[in-house]
Amino acid sequence: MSTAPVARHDVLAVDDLTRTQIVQYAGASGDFNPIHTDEVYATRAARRESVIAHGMLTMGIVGRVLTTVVDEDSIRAFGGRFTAPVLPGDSLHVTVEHDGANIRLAARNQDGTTVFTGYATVAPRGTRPAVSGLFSS
Amino acid sequence: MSTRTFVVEAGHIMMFERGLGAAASYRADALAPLTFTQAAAHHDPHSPLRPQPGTAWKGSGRAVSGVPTDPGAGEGRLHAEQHFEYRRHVRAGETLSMATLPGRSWTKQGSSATLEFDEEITEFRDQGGEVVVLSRIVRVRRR
Repeated sequence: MSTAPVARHDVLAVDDLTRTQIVQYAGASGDFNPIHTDEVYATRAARRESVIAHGMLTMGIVGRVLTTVVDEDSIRAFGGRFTAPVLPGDSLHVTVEHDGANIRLAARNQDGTTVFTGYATVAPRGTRPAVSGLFSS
Repeated sequence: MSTRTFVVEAGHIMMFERGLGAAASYRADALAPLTFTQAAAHHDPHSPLRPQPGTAWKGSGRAVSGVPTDPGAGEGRLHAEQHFEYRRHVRAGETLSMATLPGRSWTKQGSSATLEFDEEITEFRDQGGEVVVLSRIVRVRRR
């Protein structure tokens, strides 16, 4: 049995993430949690080093890279885990590895720390794989 | 379970793409980014993710937090995982209905605390009543 070769794409998706970018994402997504947008709150109330980017900002950036590699219409699943915070000033290197229908995804910061690890699956055009329909009436 | 409506607007997609760092322009028939349904928070009248008029907000103003008793000073539940399933991808001009239900809950003993996980599942249907996107969020809280 033959196996499809693994194609790997490495992209520097973000160099020097700005607070403004995080605020842009907050406005568009509707997630105004001050841990993401309010430096006073993040440092003095939450006692963090700074604000932290939304996990979904990181995942959305990974998704942008993914759709430069495969046709968005072919993507049937996309998911992953947030494994470390992303801070202003961070870089994001996104890796897409695919061997046919299965895709492995990761985002790492400038120190090589993995901040997101995920997956996607793709299907040929014209197929309509089942979606669970958890609330089917 | 309450059902809400989410109008997928082209201008909103453009702003969302810019939020992801793209130099996006307005396209009346834009295909929504993979994670766009997350922006449905704007269409939730009771979303806890934004300030609500007349209700204290935990962000800073005169004080470092508008909610002095904010437990855990903002840590709360963190977004640990996110999973999407797509039957198809949505475009500007569609009106989706969305319904959210709690999923599983479980705990795990970490090295310094007990971690409490819970799921939230949101189903997005098109105007024909067909499920087009499923979103599963896993959140975690330290105890």
